[in-house]
Amino acid sequence: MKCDCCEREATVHEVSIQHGKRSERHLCEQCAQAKGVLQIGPMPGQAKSVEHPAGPQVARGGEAPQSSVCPACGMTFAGFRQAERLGCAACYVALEGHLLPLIQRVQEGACQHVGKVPKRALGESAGLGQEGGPVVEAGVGVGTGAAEIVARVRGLREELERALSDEQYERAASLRDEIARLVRRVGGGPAL
Amino acid sequence: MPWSACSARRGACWLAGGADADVVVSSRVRLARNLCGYPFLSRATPGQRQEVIAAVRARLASTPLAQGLLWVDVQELSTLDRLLLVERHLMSKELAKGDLPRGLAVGLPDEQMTIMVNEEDHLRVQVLRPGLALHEAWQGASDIDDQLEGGLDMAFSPRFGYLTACPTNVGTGVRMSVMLHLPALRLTGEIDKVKRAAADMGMSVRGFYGEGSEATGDFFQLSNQRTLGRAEQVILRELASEIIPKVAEYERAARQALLSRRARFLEDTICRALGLLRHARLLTPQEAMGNLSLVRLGTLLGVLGGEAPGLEPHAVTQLLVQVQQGHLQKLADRPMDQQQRREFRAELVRGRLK
Repeated sequence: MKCDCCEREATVHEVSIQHGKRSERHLCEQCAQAKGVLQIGPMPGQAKSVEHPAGPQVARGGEAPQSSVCPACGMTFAGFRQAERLGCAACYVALEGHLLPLIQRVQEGACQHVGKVPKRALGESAGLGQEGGPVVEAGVGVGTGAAEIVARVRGLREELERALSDEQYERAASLRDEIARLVRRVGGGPAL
Repeated sequence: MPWSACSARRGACWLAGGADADVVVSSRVRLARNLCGYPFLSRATPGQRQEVIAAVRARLASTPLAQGLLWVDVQELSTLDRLLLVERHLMSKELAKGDLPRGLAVGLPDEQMTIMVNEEDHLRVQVLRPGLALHEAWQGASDIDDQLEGGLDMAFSPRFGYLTACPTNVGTGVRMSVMLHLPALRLTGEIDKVKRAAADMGMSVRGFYGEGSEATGDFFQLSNQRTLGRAEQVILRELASEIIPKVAEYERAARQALLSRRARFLEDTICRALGLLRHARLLTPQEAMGNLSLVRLGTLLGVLGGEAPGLEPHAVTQLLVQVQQGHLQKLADRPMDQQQRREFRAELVRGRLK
């Protein structure tokens, strides 16, 4: 396959799903770097989020369904195998297809975090939780892993802000209760 | 550098007493964390390492942790000072290696809390306690984590938890471990069975100086292997309430079996060890630790009787650290080659076991 921007062979394939719409780009390594799709070298200092459920998944090498180069730090899976260390937090997303079997092997089949969650991941201001910080308990219930709870609290907080700006105070109160209930459920204490 | 001959003489606080100290020498909880916005250490430039240090120091300075915390720029330490800190379990061998920017914050005066910066991960928080005290160690480490996290964004994914440079630590990033003294299980030939059982329960078994060190002098570090998919409280409960009490009971039963069925053999083994330590003129570290382990057992079981009245188990335990080469050179206040160290080690042990 040819690069979308030049005549070279496309080796970097980007699939984005944003607002439910899928788009694809096929680029050679040079064009990918020029467009910032593929970054080799140190990652930008301010990259904060490493989970991009709706963000771009960069794949390199044509056949591979998952990326084998981390777009943030340039780490490849082969490089990881050699160094036995990942390059940055984004490697967990970029190299997930390769890493998952390895993680499951070393972690006795586990692939979902259960346990302490940083307060900031729940969108709380620091110091509001109880001692020991928020904890996602094992066996809280089906479908209530850390990922779901964190995502749900974030979504509810956005709804709460909207309800307050629309002066829907009754709805805001019930949203606040629901957030407090969820945060308590994960051990976060009186967070609001 | 406050770790002078004086601190080498003082020994390590985390080796003194505590619950179940007859078998459980110490408890340790370690947390691995990385900051958002910076590559992990394998990809970080020296400038980025400095930025990580600056961010951590600034955060520490704004918390109550700052009081009693001593900051050490590890890359500026001498080889001997680095060795001393590794021997005291205040930093890892990995942190001691190399000259790139890296730091260590140590809680003084008891040295039971340390924060390593730019080790394998940006942050390694460690709390040590004497005896079986995993709950306290976990609470201590988690409190420090909360305070750091109050002003620092940690690399975290809802799916994989705390993200670490090596996937063997991902998830909780927690390693809970205890240092066990199991001489009777070795003498009765059951130690391999216990090690296999521990491995089957998902525990890893290491030596006195952790990863890569052989079990020396019957001291073993037992720790959780899995860090993903199990909450900290579950790991804690399993180790502190199930696995460790079981192993401790095996060891105690083996000690009682030796006392009741092979008393003369036990007495002979322990008294020979004491005799060797009291009369040797050259001692290797392995020889010192192996025989100190037996003498410790003797003090715990009262086997030494009139041979060493007043000799306490914790005095013997302290020697385990003090016979290491860094401590010896600090105590002697001069650099020594291997032969000189063997001679000085024997002299030190003779003096303590008089």
